[in-house]
Amino acid sequence: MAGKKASGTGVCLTLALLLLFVLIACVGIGSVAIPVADILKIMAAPPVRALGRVLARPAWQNFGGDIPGTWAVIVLRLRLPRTIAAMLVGASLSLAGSTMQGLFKNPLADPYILGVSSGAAVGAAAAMLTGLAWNALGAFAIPLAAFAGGIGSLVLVYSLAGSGGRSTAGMLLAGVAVSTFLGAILSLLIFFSGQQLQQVVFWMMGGFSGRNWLHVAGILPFLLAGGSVMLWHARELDALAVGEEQAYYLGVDVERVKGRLLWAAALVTAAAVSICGLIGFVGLVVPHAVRLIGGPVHRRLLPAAALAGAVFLALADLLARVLLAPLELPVGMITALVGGPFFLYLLRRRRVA
Amino acid sequence: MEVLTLDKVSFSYNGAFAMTDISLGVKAGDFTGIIGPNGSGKSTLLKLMAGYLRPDSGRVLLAGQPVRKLERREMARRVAVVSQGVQTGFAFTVEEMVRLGRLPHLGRWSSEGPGDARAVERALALTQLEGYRTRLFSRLSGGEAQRVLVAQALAQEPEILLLDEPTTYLDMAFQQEMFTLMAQLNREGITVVAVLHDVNMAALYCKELVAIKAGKIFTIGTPDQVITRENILAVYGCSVEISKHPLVGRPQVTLLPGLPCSAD
Repeated sequence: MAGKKASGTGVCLTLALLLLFVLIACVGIGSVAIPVADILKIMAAPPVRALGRVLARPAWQNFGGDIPGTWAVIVLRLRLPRTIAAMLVGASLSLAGSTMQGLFKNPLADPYILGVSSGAAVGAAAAMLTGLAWNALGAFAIPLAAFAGGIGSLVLVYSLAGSGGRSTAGMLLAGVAVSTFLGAILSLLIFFSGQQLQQVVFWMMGGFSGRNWLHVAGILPFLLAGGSVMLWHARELDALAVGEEQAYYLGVDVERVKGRLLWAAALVTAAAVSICGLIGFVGLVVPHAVRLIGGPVHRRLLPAAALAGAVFLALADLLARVLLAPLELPVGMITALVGGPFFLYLLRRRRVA
Repeated sequence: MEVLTLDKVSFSYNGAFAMTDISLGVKAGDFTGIIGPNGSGKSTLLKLMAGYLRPDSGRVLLAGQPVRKLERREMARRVAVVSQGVQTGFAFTVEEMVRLGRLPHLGRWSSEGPGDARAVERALALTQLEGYRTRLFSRLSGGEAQRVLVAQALAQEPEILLLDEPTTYLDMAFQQEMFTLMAQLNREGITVVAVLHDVNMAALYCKELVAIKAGKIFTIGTPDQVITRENILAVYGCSVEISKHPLVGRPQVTLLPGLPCSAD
């Protein structure tokens, strides 16, 4: 099989259309089914009404007034922010996974490889157990604690691997060591968690239940900034995926670029994890699947992986909330359930080809 | 004019292996071969020239400027390196690999222009890889992969080309083609420095030879000056017969079976 590849713009355009379709589907499907036309009307209503006020057009100010108010609340306050949060997290994890895999020259690397997830879990669990969650910071105690934990573990890995020029192998080993250590602390926290046990375990399985626009606003800047850094260095990432020495000869300032990309991927991951808990397999499987279709060149891979990750996680979240409705399954379980077999299929196909 | 200068360079890998007091000047238009036994430091010398390894003492200069102070992209536009053992687990095609050679010429957000396409096409043509564009780099034979790396280096359009044993995996025909290509590039004005393990090929094609032994320069000179019975015995520990090539008159080494040959 020669490397026959779909064109980059074609893939991205298809994925963008799919994303739009999935967005409408996720907003429409649920305990209350809302028709597509009404969804579009509800989403268009706020800007149209605002414009109507500015231009003093009474008819515009009543736009969408014929739609039940509860529907508008369901769409604008519940399903839309939740779906968008899932999409942003999916995009974040896919981008971070693509970048980590390129950096480490290892198709099995994922966003959590440097211990960001274990650190975040420890942070979140600590916040829940100390009751910080009910104090001054309110609903944001857990995301902030998770974010701090994730970044903290990366700092630890980075400084542990620091002596000796931060070789790739050194970083990976330090990542494994720190993850294991933090895993033990997490077990200890869970052991003493008592009444909060269920909350801690549920957080670790990941989910988007009750996520709102504040969560969207919290993760968006990280995704935009981190994604830009990755795209900015996309060609250098190609060179690094071939090898660090080769990248050096191709004019890449290896240590600097590596550092920037690592931090970008880690920050994006920490932000994602902090709003939804641990969701596995997205950052591993999605970049793989996209590479099979569009090839490993990062200028094409990164945008396509972001879009595909968004589609994948939004659909996973949809399944999580409708499969056993009114019960909600953890999203992390769905992604692993779908992602695991799919990953095996990809590996088998690769070997056969 | 000296384009590449090593001035009293010393280097060691954590004190284990040492290159000591290397002074060497490569002039514009040179075709220099670095020869010596395995483990004598040929590849290390090349990596020092390329700026990848930092000398413990001494200076490496590119046209008078210290290479470690040069901006990376600037350096990569002037010096290209074909190194050994490059492999990737990702499914890059041959064309994608060669296009990576344009990296130091391209702006961040800019796409490849006609000049870039021309350089890539020329590199593919010179290495006879036009029919390989969509083949996966990771599935090529050692020799084919070697040619792709040469093509990538050529796409950089460098003034100086450094090659680390570029003919290692090649059969006789491709070896000759590789040397013919290096000679052709050299005639077109590119300065070529190659680490070579085949002394006879080195003697046939190079204008100048540097013989390395145990991390030190043993001798520098024309093939006629370097390829002598005494030098080969001293550097490689082999007793050989030296003859003149019947067509071009360059010295050629013949091994003498039965006589002891120790690489010490």
